[in-house]
Amino acid sequence: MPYGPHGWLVEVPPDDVVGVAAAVRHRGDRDVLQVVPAARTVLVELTDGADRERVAGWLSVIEPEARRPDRDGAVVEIPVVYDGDDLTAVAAACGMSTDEVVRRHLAGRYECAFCGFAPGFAYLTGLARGLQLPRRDTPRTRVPAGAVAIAAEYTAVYPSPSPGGWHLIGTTDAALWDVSRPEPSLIRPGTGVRFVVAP
Amino acid sequence: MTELVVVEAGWATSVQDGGRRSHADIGVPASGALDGDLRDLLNRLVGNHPEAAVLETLGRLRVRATSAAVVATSAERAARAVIAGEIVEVEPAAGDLWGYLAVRGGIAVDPVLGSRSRDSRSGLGPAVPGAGDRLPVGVDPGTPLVVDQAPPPLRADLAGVWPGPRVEWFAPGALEALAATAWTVSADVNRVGARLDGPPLERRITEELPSEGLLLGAVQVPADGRPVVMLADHPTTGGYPVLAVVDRRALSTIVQARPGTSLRFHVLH
Repeated sequence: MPYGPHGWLVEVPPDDVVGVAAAVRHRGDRDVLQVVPAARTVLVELTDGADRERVAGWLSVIEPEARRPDRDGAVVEIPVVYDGDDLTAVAAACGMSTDEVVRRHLAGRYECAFCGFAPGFAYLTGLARGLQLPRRDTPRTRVPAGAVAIAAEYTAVYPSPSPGGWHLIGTTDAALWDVSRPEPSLIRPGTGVRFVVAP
Repeated sequence: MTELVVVEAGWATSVQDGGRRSHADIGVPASGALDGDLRDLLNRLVGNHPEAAVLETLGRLRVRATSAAVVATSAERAARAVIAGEIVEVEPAAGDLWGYLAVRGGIAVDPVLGSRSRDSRSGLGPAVPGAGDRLPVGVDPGTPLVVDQAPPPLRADLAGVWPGPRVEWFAPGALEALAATAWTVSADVNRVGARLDGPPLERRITEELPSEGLLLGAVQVPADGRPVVMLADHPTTGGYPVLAVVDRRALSTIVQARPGTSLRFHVLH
């Protein structure tokens, strides 16, 4: 649906968000400024003076790109120390031991569906059903950078200090965000992620 | 090389240019000058590219030129030459909230991720200027100076909005209610958004909206029913439904509306 004169918001099943965003991006249409995937939508932002109806024409029939295991999204490994302040509470809420929470988090094969909230904050899908909890009732005013967290169907690593309402289960010293890198965000939509126990 | 030495840092002062407009997919907002029209104008007055880096402030900013320079401020709306050691005061124009200083050559601090704009939410971008800081001025663009003064704008209190993507999340008549209300600009305005006070807008669907992309000018309505207009540093995704989108031509009206003043919308089709 229209998002003002410079945008189209496309509703997409969650599993197809990455594929649709990639398909739109790879089309390279001159009137597309950028593509913003999210939980169940892809927002297509248009350039000034874009022919929005022409874009709507191909956008309305866009198909998600097929997954290619060797796609540019290499798998990023994130070393974690599972010492989060909420680990015990999460285990209790999920009806399992903390060891089991850790085992299930480590076993997951995750993918970044989208980024939002802060630079480099990647929402990773693939979290085990048994670990899915609503966000905390009371968010923290400050979550440190490197905090590994879960909420709803996602897991994420906070790239920098910020307020946060997710359940903290561990910490990593991996640099999620570094502006001096050509790609400042370690994880971007489509990137595969695995967590490993920090040595 | 000419520098602008910060004598008094002022309130909420930052370096801003045209912003970084293509990194929303990694959670980076565009940022850039809140009042893009005024930035463009002041830059043109000094012969700069319209998106050259300027200083943006809520007021009380004072800088000293270390050698001859050409500047234009929002209060004067005119280009003028300054000599070495001269102090330039930067205040919002009468009735405006934000003031700007453009200098011929632009503020030449190092760009970060392709822009000299500062994101107030994440801190991405050039450091906040503090007293004693020396801001480099860029090389002379070699352009002619053709206009030396611009008349003050007519600041209407009316902003055009387009229907947003989630109109159906609101009670029938919500767009009409948005347009019928004389909203008051709250004190809760900053680079991220402008919160408006008035009778709450009723929702039809009260569940949480899964996070979706946000655009500049989006009018988000959180649980309390009072609209918030997304501005330059807005988060790239959000979970409140967007009822309308402010037309780009009306953004400077929203941005420059001082807290306590009245604002009305009219719906464009």
